Amino acid sequence: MENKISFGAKLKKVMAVRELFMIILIIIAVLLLTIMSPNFLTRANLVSVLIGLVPNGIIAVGMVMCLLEGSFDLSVGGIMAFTGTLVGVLMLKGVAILPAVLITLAVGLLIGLVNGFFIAKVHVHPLIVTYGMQRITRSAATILTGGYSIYGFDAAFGVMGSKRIGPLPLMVWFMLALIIVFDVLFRKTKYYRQAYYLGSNPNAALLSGIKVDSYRIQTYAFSGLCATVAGVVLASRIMAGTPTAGDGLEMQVLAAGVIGGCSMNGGEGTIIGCFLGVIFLSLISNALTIMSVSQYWQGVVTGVILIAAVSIDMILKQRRAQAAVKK
Amino acid sequence: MKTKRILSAVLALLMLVTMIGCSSNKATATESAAAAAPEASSAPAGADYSKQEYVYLATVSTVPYWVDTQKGLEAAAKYLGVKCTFLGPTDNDVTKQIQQLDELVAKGVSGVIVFGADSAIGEAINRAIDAGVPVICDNSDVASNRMMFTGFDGHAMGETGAAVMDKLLNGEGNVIIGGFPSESVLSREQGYKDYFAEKTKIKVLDTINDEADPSKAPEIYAQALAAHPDVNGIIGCDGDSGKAIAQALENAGLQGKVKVVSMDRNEDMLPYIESGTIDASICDKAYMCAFFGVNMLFWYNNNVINPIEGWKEKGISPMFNSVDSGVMVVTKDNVKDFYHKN
Amino acid sequence: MSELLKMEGITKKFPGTLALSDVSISLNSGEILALMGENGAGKSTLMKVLSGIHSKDAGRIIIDGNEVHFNGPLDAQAMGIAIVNQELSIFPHMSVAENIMANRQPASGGFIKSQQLNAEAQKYLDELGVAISPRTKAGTLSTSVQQLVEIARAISMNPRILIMDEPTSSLSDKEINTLFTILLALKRKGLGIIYISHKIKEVLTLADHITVLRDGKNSGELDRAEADEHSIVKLMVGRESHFIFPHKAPEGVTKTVLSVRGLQSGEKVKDVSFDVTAGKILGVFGLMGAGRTETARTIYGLEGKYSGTIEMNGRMLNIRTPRDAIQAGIAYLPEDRKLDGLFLGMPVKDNIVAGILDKVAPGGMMKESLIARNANEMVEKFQVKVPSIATRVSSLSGGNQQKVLIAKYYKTNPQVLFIDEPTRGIDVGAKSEIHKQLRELADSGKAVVVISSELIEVMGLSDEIVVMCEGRVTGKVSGSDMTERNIMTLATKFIDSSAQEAS
Repeated sequence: MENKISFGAKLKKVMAVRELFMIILIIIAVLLLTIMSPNFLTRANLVSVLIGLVPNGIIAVGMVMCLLEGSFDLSVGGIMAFTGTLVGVLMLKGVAILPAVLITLAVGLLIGLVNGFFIAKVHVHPLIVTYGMQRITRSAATILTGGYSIYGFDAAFGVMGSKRIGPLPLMVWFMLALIIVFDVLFRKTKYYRQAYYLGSNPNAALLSGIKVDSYRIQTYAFSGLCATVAGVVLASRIMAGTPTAGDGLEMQVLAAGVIGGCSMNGGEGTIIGCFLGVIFLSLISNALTIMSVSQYWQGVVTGVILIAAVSIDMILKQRRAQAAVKK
Repeated sequence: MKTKRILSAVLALLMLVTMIGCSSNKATATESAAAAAPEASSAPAGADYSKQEYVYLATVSTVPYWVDTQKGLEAAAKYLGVKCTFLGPTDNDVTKQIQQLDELVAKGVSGVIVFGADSAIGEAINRAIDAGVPVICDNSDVASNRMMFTGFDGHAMGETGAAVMDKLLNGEGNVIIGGFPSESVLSREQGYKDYFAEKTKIKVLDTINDEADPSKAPEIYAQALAAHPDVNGIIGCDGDSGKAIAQALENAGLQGKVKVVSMDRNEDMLPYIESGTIDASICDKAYMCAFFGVNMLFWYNNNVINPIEGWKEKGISPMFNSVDSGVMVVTKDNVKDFYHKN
Repeated sequence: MSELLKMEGITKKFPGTLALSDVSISLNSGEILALMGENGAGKSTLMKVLSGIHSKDAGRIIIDGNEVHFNGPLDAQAMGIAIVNQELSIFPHMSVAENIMANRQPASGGFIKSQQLNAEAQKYLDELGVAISPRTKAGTLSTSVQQLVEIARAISMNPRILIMDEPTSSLSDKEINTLFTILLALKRKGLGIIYISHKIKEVLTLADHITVLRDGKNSGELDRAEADEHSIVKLMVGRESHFIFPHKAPEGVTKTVLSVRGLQSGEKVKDVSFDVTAGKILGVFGLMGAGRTETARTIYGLEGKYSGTIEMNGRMLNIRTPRDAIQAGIAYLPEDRKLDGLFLGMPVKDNIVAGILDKVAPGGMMKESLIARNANEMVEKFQVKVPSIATRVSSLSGGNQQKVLIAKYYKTNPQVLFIDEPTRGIDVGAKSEIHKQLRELADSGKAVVVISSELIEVMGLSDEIVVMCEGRVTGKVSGSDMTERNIMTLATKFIDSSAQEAS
């Protein structure tokens, strides 16, 4: 009886785990980039990339929860812009930093709750609700500031960007902590596992005693909260409230989630996977900048790589499924 | 499954830490620029400057307005023998522009011209300068330690345009102003409004957002026209406004009856000036600003100028603070010269 | 033994139908009550009321002498009622353990204790004799194992009342035996079990009492001692009923239209040879895993490559996709009609013409009059009970859905019709009608191949029976050879030897 698994079979098993596939993709990307540009593998560049993806990373946590349930939140970019501006407005009006941040977090949570209510109780499709909310929050951000960015905050507010621990500013460590903590929570706690149950079979979830409607509302509240945290962190970094921030961010994070292993039908995916997707997409963007690729080509390059990467994985998945059926 | 997840997480973290840890602390821009620059006080002919890269960092980077800027960059690259690049996010999200600036600094470019669309980029500009990358602000200024500003004050530009409209309408009538909520555009709109309020009897009926999107703007102006049948003049404050206004007017059959003052010299808008649908367009001297800017940065880097011994180390900047580029007014009379055909 | 449960005068209305009208049942602890009835009789609805999934419009539920009210499934679960539904409610992405202990995972401080989770799940898996790891992803399991996982889930809730709705539909005989052993053990422990099934043999083996519903009302009750096939069927259909099968094919019908030799495909079809005669019904019988469905699917081009020969009217066929099979004149009605055969969201008429779109759309445009004509013709011919041909197929009963499917394939005018488990999940009355229709198809000159695991049905319906075991044809019986014993012998020929191979 054959007891040894061939290397090919082992490799196939490894590739089956989307996270490892992503790491391999990233390693390939890094190698290619290092060869193509001597400026890539420099401390300054890598730090700059990491800093840039912090908002995406924070928002990813909330977006994954939505994806697990077979849904998504298109309002996160707008919420980030609005809350990033709101905290600035509050501070300029004389509110101290901590209360300003707390109030802003509460507002963001509230926006998420509104999303959740319309989706779970009124049964409006998440696409409509969250896209509508995106338009509302973006406009609200512009209304708040009259279109301009606002600045002039107390220097202490900039701690996320200015305080460094090692080579990286606080905001990066903060994001990493969030990613790691929530990845563990989603794998190991009853509360967050419910998202997987819900996404895998909503009817059975209901019958098993999961309060489906209430949980969905909580999910969107959580997503809104994550977007708010991202907004505050971003405002802290650039020391300005920018109403135009995060344009198109929701699609980027969504794509990162899918490329990192989340199924749009729900039931699968991890936070680490989505985070790896965020890293991968940021590397592509960085590559375009340091290789001075014409702006006109940005969209083409990003789109092609995205489609290609997920296609490769889907093809491998199909081959695996066919092999299993033959049994 | 579980072990694989932990494994992948650990690997990812290790990867990040290793990359950062082993990455070389590349020489900063100042050192590399200095390394390329000769000791002499004038840039010797025949020296190799091809490794110097000067970047123009815009926003809304794919609109036709930037064509002139890029032509200026090309000319400068050829003239100086350096590399010139045009970059910037495709939307007007300043946070993306900030991110790119940081990445360019990390890359170690020789100098950056920043389109100061939003003052939020001020801190990033200071970071760049601290890292040894000189920065010029073009078209719109940003409060920072930037070496120089080139361009025309947005507000003053608005006033110039307002004066043109004032003449066209003989001092009174109703106008609509179109633009989009970017700081530089907003300041132009304000310039128009202030001039009208202070010096004329012209009433501004509405300020609308045309999103700087040539696919949506015509409809937006058409709706504004329909909402204000008593309008006498329309003003466009961003580069894509003019054509959209013209299209909306022609669709409604109102060309010639409503006066139009627009912005910039986009190729596809010029025919409307020729035909008279657009009465005048205020355009800046984007080509020259870019060409000039690159040269200034080059001079700063390469010991071409030497008014005071050791001015760089001593922190005494001989560069001009602000250069007023002036504007050009394009009308039916001179529009033919503005086509790019050559 | 005490009266554990009493449902009194339960009435339940749905828009357009009165599903239950004044229905009462009674269950003692330590007893198995079988709930029987035709499709639409109200059995599932009654149990959904009991398990809190549906609310009742009238009546009382009394447990241990106390009246209870349920606001939802959790209330029923709290009272110790567990139900295994007919439609599987599995979480395909989650592990078996997570399925069994859904939302009841052992945890401390919110953190799931995975070792304990898997150990507990393992306990129930062992009890049910399921030899899989509790860490397996549920979606990768076969339907029969998934059903066992659901049963494990119900048992793990330590219920006092266990409701099982058609629990053996996907199980093999061995698994059924194991299940019965467990149910009997639970019964001895004092549980009350309500067992919904239309399989009369099973019910006669298992049940202490039988309650029959008909058209949403009580039809009658029987004790085990007094129950037999006839008395049960009588209560279900309201008339003395022998299962009367239609006539067999007349003498002299001998034209071989399809000839299969040495067919091999994948792992399930190892060596299959048989002939199909026009005008006759060929039965294909075998136990679960015999490879009958896979054989039919191979011939229909659904399994890809095969070796061996398939000949139609003397001409060799090369079938790579269903299109090739259809063009050769072969039709296949699949086992799972809902999943593979019908367009549930579409009206009856669109389903019926689905195979002949070219004919009802001359020049590319669909002609309503042609569609309606064809649909009405079929509804008439096969006696499909629908309010109108525009009714959505999803609202039809199982039997009528099957008739629509047969009509669809009939319209494509095939020479050979393979039909897989034609009367599964269909009530007794409709079964007879379908048997009649199949015979009519044969009489009209077509060759009909019926794959079935109901021995009585296969014997009553077929002119000849091909028996398969472990992917091989083990024999053919007809006429006086067609006895239960002969068939069962052929069907189990390789069972013992294959068990040896696997070790």
